[in-house]
Amino acid sequence: MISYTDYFNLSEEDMRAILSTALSKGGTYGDLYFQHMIKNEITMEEGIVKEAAKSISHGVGVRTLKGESTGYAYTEEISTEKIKQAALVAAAIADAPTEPGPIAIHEEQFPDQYPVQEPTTGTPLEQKVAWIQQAEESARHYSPHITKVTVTCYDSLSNIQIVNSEGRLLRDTRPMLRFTVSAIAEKNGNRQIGISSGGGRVGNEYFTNVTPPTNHGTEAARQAILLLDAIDAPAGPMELILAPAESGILLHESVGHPLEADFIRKRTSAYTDRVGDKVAHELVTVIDDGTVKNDRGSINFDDEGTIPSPTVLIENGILKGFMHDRISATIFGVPPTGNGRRDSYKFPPIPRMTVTYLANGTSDPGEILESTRKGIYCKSFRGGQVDISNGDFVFVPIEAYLVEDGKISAPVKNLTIIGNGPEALSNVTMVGNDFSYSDGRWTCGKHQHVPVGVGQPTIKISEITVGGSELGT
Amino acid sequence: MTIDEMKVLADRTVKHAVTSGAETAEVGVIENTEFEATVRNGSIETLLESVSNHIMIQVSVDKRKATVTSSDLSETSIEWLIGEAIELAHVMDPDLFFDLPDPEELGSVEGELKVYDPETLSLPTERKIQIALDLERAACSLDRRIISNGATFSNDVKSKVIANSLGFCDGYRKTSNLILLSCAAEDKPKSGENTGKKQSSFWYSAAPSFEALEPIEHVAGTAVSRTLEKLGAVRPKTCEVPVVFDPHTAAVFLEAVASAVDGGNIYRKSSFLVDKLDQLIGSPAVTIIDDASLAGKLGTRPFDEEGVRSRRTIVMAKGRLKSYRMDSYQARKLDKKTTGNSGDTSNFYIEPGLYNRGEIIATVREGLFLTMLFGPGANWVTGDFSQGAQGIWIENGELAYPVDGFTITSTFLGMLDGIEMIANDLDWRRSTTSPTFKVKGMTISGT
Repeated sequence: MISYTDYFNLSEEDMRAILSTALSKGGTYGDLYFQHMIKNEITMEEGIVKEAAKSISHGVGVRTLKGESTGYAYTEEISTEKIKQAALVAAAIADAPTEPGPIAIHEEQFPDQYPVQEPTTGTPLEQKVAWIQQAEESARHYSPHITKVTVTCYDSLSNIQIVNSEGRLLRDTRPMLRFTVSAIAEKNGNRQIGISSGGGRVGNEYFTNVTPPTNHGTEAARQAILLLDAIDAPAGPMELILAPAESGILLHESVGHPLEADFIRKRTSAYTDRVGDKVAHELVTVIDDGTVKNDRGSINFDDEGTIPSPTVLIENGILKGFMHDRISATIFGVPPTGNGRRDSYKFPPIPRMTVTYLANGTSDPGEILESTRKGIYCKSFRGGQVDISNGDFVFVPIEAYLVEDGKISAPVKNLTIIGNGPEALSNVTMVGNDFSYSDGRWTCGKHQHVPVGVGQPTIKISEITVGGSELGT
Repeated sequence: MTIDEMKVLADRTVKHAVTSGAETAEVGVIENTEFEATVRNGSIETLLESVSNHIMIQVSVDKRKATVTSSDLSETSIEWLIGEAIELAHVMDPDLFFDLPDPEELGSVEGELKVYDPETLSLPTERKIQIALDLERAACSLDRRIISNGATFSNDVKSKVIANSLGFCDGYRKTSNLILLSCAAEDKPKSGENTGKKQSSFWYSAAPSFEALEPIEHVAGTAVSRTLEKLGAVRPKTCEVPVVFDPHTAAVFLEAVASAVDGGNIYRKSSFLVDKLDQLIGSPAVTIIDDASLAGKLGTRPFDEEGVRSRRTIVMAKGRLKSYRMDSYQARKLDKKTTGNSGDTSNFYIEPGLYNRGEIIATVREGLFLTMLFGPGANWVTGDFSQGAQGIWIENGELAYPVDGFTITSTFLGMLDGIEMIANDLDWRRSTTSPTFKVKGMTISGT
């Protein structure tokens, strides 16, 4: 196999020449994004190891910026000539031919946020198959009502090299592991699905230190079986308790996206011009942090070379700032926050979240439950979505229960919960002391797909609209 | 690359895989030429242009299958990939249902499919940027309240060759063109709460040929009216009422139905339509067709990703489920014949009815005209349906005032059975598409 370093092995002189081409028409900034990526996926279903897929992609993206304008082109033929052609295409957003100054290239170092003991990419197939079989067996044996089990082991290794017109050069190797079990349960014509998934920028040690394959199998089966007895969810406004970890998806949708600064500079977000305003209950502090160790959303540097640090978005209810890429940071006159991310070399970076979480509180989770008269308790989720302009966001629970007089009662199904960002976060009346990060499973799709992380303690929202089918009496 | 060059590469790769020990081999070679210009406030926001390639190689040994893909089409890389694929296949379990398609199914649809428009490639960049600028200007000139969120012109040319060890080797080129406008406007809710609230929407036109795009004035006008009609939206009360889906939300619903009739989800028992074939599950008003052989649409193609000839399949006939959408493997699993649905989406649509939209709305005393759905609450495995929604409240048969911040909930079976009236407004701006329809009753969860 050809090593990726061979692909990226352009001389400094060539890289300088290409960057000069990118700026030759008056662009004020340019960068090259080299990527070589290997993805492996093995799937077991119906009791057999059925699908194996390997994919290799490599390319170089060339970007030219001028003000808010982006020119972008990429090539999958890694030759100086082809990359220069791409640079000419990117350069074309500007139209004032200039002679860019000399660029001195220097490689930069950074702390490693995802040290890995035993990389999954490169692990013998037999070992991956063994994990898959363990998970499948534990799901299948959970109950005779489990009728189908699908297990997927995905791993990837992405080698990145960024060089920009300021002369900064950064190289990184980004590992990723994602292990997923889905189980179908059937009883008397009722069919339910349970899903358990996790991983992160980790190696095989994930299975011993974080979640063994069998736990994913049992968890998927447990959810599916539980849902067989779920009742139709109620409709209308009520109290809501969110369990720790996974519920961070609420933040991701409700305030995460609307605080991405491309929506702010375009003035389409409901939070435009609102820094310093009270936008949430004073118990609420929200942080985006790409430096959480080995998290699915962590990054050593973002996809335009900014080394991340924790960004406080909301502090004690007050809006403090936004998540920036280079373009928005320049416009707002602030340093980039390390949120310029991209799907692959095929895309220019845009502001994206990394690991977004709600800081720990002081309430005892038991007291939060006891304080609730009538509501819903949500533990795990299919996903969510937001309308960044009007602030409406939704999320769809997988595992959720009715809460009556301080106690968890029947599991419920078929519901979407809808809230409005500023309103829902103002209604956060209790924050628990049991913070935890989600096991790495989330992918965010804002035109481009990037892996993200979330985290949260138990919280209570005093009123939100629960969208089930059962009208109250 | 030319299609002929791609065919030579695909054919050579199949032969190479077979001589390397593969019992069956299937190869896809894909080239994509993309262009996108987005403008905002009269300046270029992004200008993207690129060509990408990849090769997909599937091999099997003793009914054990593996797939490799790569963006590196060099001979050394392909040679290495074939070796990797065969090695992977050996670790798999045998799957007795695996095979290449029946040779009789392979081939192209006869006749002109009108999916390739040479003008797509020859339009100068300046012209394409100008179209985006004109589109944005047309929208902003309609109303002073409009904030542009970008106007886009994009087009691409996709070339695809499929070859397999049965001797099939063929290819085609396909174009698509898109104009899209996104915009927003400040909203001032009556309560004084919720400072900064805005309403936004978008509209677009897309077609294989440049000529078939709708006039920019029409796209701009629709995007602007879909945005402004939301201003002042209130949360509706929790109740059960009839819901009229506009073509946009009807298509979102139909996309979830498409997943429910997908052969893969059926044999995995991951659909509410398992074991429902030949049963009456929808209202007699509902007929659903899958047809990748329909000329000139976005989902049109001569054959699918296995080389299986495109065809018309009646999925639901007057409420009765007649067929799933299957590739050849799924068909073998279900003891049926392939419907040519491997890979890319085909054209999938609800047949239009006789009414116009106004006539349908006029039948609703109190209800919802639904213009937006969001969130992952359409669960085709269980058949549950609960989504975030926006729309316009209907009072006495007329559109009365905008509503947001609520959900609508029912089940797929309840909705399919509850479709009472279907409009005559089917359009082809997308490949999965539906006319306006009215559902008898759904739960609205609001205040």
